[in-house]
Amino acid sequence: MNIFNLKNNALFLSCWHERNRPVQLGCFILLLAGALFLSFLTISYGERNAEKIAENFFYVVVILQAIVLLLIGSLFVGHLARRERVNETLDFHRNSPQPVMEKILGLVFGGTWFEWLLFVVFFFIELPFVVLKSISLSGLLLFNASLMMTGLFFHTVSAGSAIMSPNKKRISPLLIIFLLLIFGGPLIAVIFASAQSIFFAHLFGITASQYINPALRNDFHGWFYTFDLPPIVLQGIIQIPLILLMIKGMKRVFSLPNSPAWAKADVIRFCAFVFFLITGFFMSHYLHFDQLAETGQSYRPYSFFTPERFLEQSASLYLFLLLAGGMYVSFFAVPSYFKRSKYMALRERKGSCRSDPFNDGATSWPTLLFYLIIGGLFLVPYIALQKIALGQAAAAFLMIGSHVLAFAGFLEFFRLGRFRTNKIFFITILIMWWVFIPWLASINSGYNLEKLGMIMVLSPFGGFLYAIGKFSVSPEVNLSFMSLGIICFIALAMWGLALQEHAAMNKKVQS
Amino acid sequence: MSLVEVSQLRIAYDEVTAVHDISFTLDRGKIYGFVGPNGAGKTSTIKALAGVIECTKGSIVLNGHDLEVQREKALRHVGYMPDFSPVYESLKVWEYLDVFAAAYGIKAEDRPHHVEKWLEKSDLVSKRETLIKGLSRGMRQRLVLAKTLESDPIILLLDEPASGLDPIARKQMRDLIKETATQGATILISSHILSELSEFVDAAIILEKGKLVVAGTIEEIRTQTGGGQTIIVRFSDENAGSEILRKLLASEGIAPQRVSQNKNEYVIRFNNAEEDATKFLNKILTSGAAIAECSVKNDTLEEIFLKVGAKEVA
Repeated sequence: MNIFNLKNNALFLSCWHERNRPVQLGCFILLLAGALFLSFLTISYGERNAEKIAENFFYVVVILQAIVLLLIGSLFVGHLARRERVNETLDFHRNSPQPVMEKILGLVFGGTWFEWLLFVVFFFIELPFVVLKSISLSGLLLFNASLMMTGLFFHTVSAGSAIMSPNKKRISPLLIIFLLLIFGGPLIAVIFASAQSIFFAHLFGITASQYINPALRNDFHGWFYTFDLPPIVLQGIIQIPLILLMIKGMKRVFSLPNSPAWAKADVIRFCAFVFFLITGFFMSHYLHFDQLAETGQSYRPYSFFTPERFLEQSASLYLFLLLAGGMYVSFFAVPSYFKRSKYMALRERKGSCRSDPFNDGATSWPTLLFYLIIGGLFLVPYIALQKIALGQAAAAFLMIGSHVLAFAGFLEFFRLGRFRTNKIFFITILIMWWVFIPWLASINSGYNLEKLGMIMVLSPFGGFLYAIGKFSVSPEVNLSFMSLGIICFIALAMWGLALQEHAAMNKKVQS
Repeated sequence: MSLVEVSQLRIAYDEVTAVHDISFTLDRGKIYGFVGPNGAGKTSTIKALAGVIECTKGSIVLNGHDLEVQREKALRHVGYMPDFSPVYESLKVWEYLDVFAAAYGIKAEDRPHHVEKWLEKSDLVSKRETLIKGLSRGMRQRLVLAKTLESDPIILLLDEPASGLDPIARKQMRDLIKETATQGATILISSHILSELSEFVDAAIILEKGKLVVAGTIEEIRTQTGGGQTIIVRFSDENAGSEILRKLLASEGIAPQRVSQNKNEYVIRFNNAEEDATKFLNKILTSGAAIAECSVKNDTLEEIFLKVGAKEVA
């Protein structure tokens, strides 16, 4: 396999031919040149200092370079990858003997070859600006390296999301999440400002800006756990595993057409990676809280918080992620009817398939157990720093874990059972279980707080509040042991139902 | 030698089981008709053979490689044409052929010549620079067929390739398929136009409701399903025919399945009794009766299918 042999790469060629139309390229260049020229006219107006004008010129070029590579490149690669899914030409490529890695490279670079070309052109335009005092050659090189990494990350996510769509007529939910992250990322960063803004800054490659703008240098500290790392390294720590994850997903789309985009093991690795990042940033922020507060960073209102409040809020965020992540993992870990049948049939064929707990068709509970163990391990720093009693922490963790297992059990029962074709059944039961029953019970309880709390834990949201309560320095929600018992019982009941479906399927496959 | 071995193939979607444990083999150099009504599981089976969907149970071995275990090797020489035309609307005709020539490992320097050859074979030379969105349905079908054949596949899977083609294009398609078969390829072709299929297939596989009804050469199927011959005799004298036939059948002990009469024309049907039919034909021709016209017709694939399809599954 020669990955640079693009002239013999079918997917690259399909994109290359489509984009290599003189009229389209001409119009694109004309629009870009117009934007560049008008921006120059706008920013130079009123400036008398030649160095300042040159600096502003430089920033215009840099901004356009970023827009072309990150925004326009992502849109094109997403559009061309989606075309493969909608036209079903993807099936031809699945069927072709070209190595899968070549197909992925062809798709990602075929859709963006023109943007990469422009990126290089912009780089050469930027080079002469290193004569300016405020811009160094090393800074420019690091900025471009950072931008390249972000470009690759955006393009991979955009292409991957487009071809991973389970339904050719609908946009993939993954793609929607991706777009939400791009455009809503800063907003999310503000919502979780106290803990995760640096994470988003690195995720979107915003940290690259400090290499060309010395004024931003204090804004993006490279702290991670107890290490002081260069920002580009931190950016790499965040973006490179995500790029690899998307590539793995695309590989499976090409070679395993009826399987989820990510294997269970990949999802577990992804969750472990997210926990690793979140805990890393949390610890570095907690340890350097005073220094961060002193710098008065623009979108991190630390001045409103004490370290204790910060710790409490971070722990709440972590518990919420543990719960939400568990449900997300359930969707990947619970096998579809098709996958389960296949797994059982292959197991019958002697030697064809070993009993693998991470197989697409295997039951989900080993994966979820693994997820909860990893999630529990990363909870340890929060427990240690907050000096919470082990019993309380265990109760909080058990509550979250039980909800995750109960949800997965119900999902497995639904996907393998006779109601699997009626999604509305699943949604209705969830609404009844999580909303209506607690609601009705709360009316009957006469709004007695203790009784109310006990009933509210029926829903994961109530369970989450209970878990937070156990984690709070001064618990506002303090419920009895019975609440925990109820949700553990529900989890067991759900798995009882799921196991019944397993037995029924076993019978059917053997027949 | 079998190029395709399908064993206990089952394809179960969430909603329905499309294919129920079917097994068959396809031999080198033969053309197989894949026959069945809508929803019989033809498309699902072809997709599974092409590696486009996974099967729930069973195994598929293509050219000696298990599709589940050695996917890339198994699909190396497989050409697949789905029942509609997946195309890149914004590519030109030659670009489309160029892309898939690259997908099957034809080097950049050889591709221009290769593309020209297939443009000619598919009669699309005049459309070389046309965007695919400007092609008619028939032209698209021809283009996709050319794309499928250009990789010189030894296993060719064609799902309804003739739909949307005019009679001339159908003939061209048939010729192309026959030519590919003579070069040693195995061809599995599904179609609703059974009369056309029976003209050039060597064997057939009949599916109904996801189950295999019968498979084999047309002769074998005819025998297995009690298919046979129909002899049509038109006597010059309307009144004499009945008597001659009665005597002939009684003296030779021949028992046809059915005898029907329309004025001086008699239709004598033999099911699964080729010997009797031949004997009867010889006797009637040498009987000295005044015969205006006599013809023999073997059951077509369509007739066999209509006869066995639903009955076997029920």
